[in-house]
Amino acid sequence: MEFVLSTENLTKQYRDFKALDRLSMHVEKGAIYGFVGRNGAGKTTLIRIICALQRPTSGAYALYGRTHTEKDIALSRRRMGAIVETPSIYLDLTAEENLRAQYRVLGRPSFEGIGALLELVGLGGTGKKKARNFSLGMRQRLGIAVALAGDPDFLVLDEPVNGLDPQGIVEIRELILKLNREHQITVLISSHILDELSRLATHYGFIDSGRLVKEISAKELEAACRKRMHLEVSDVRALARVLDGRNIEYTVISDHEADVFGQWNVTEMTMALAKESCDVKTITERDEGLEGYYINLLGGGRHE
Amino acid sequence: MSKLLRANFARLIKSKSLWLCVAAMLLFNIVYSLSEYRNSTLYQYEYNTSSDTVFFLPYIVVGILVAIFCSLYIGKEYSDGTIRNKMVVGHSRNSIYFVNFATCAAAGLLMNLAYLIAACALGIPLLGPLETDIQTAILWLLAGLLLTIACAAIFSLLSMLNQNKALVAVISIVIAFTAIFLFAYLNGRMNEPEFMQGLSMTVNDAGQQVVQAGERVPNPHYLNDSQRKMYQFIMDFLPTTQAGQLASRNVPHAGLMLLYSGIIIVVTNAAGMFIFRRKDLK
Repeated sequence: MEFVLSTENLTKQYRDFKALDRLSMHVEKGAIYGFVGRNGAGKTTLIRIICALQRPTSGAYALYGRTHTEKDIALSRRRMGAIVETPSIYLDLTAEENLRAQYRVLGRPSFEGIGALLELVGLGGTGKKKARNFSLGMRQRLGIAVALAGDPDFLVLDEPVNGLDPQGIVEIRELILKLNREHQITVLISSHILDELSRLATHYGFIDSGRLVKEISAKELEAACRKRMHLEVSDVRALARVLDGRNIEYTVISDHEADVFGQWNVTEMTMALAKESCDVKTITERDEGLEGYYINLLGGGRHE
Repeated sequence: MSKLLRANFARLIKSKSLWLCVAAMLLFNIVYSLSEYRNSTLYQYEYNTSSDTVFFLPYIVVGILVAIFCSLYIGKEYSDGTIRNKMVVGHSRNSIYFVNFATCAAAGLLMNLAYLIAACALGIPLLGPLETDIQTAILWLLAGLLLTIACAAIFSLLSMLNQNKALVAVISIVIAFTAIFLFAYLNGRMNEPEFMQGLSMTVNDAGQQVVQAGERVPNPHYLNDSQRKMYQFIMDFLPTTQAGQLASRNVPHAGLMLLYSGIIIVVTNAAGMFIFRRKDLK
């Protein structure tokens, strides 16, 4: 498996505060990696570190297999683009001038492709309008265009839909999906808007207090979040016999608990269990989704 | 680094701050040249003037303008966040620092150039040719250019190490003005006479006040040898006090001034790069 980004025990300490605590994560090539965590969990710190804005206190990270201490890490960096917190654009320049400025920074031989890039992000018709007069969504899209100026394979987006109106959110989502599907760009996207993230991500990393609590693929998450009934019974073996007899999928959790998937008749099931001398103590419907999974994983009581 | 230089210079050419500073230098020259010309025609017997008074004057003003320019130009990289675009794509922090310094230094030299062109175009026709011998004039001009670069090094350091654009602008301007007042103070102390003329004031029989010259008394503000050496060192060392010496055309150690400016440029850039490499950026 090829990783675009991997971190090993990455730690960042500011005096008495550990923003990252031995964080290890892996972003697969071609993925849209949703980086999830509450405010102050360490998402932006990690992004700042991999973008070379800050240095880790200890631990290491690798971009395209090159660790950050290697001399030629710059070669890997040239393959990435990023928006950290706010779009990095000159407000007194037009969209095209901003891209020209970034083309020069990259040392691109000509300005060819700027028009196409502006079209790609939906800023083709902005003309001489200065970025200062752009809406937040337009600035965000210009920021993405600047990040794409070097034809990167890896795009890092920190809270890209923060503050956008619904239309802006949809536009950014469609753009990210297009970049991933049509241009094969791997995307690391941090967000705490879980509903939005669940429409995009192929992989998730959950961070809390600077630690990566869980790394999971969208498929695994979907399986974990399938709609199911959680049954607490007196004898889980009897429950298993009844379910096997009806060819119903289930997962045994303990001697007294099981999750049962699919559609079935509750009355008929409880009667069948009664025949097996098995009491049904509770039946609870569970339908987590990303939000429910996140709350269960990190606990819901400490929201800021 | 050449890519960054190209990018920075393209931005420099479009910088409103640069052209405002250049315009300020031109205006300063025009106003000063016309004022000197007016004085020389009005008071032609007492007022002996030449274009020397105009030629070596700009460096004090350049110091202030470079302070303002550096804080605005580099501060914009932080306020707009565009410095991140350079780091993300793999440019080293040393390159980013040095290129920003080089851009500010080039802006300072351009301001000087604008002033000198105006001095040649307006100062010489109005006030006559330079009276300073050509070797000295070239040495002073070199000292002026180097002190401009030293100013750029100092104010680039301040701007690169502090991400708050407004705060850096205020600190830079305060430093530039403080340095000018420092020159005025040091110059005043160095020109204190060794003795003061004592005066006695008496009232005569008719009730009138009579002032008489008394004995010459030692001036308590007169600098002793070690103090004078220290004051002279500061005057030769700091860019703004160097600028003051050039403006007053009283430059006893032009060679040393070149050396000190060189030292300031090297040391501030080395220190700036060292700290910037370790700095956490937001």
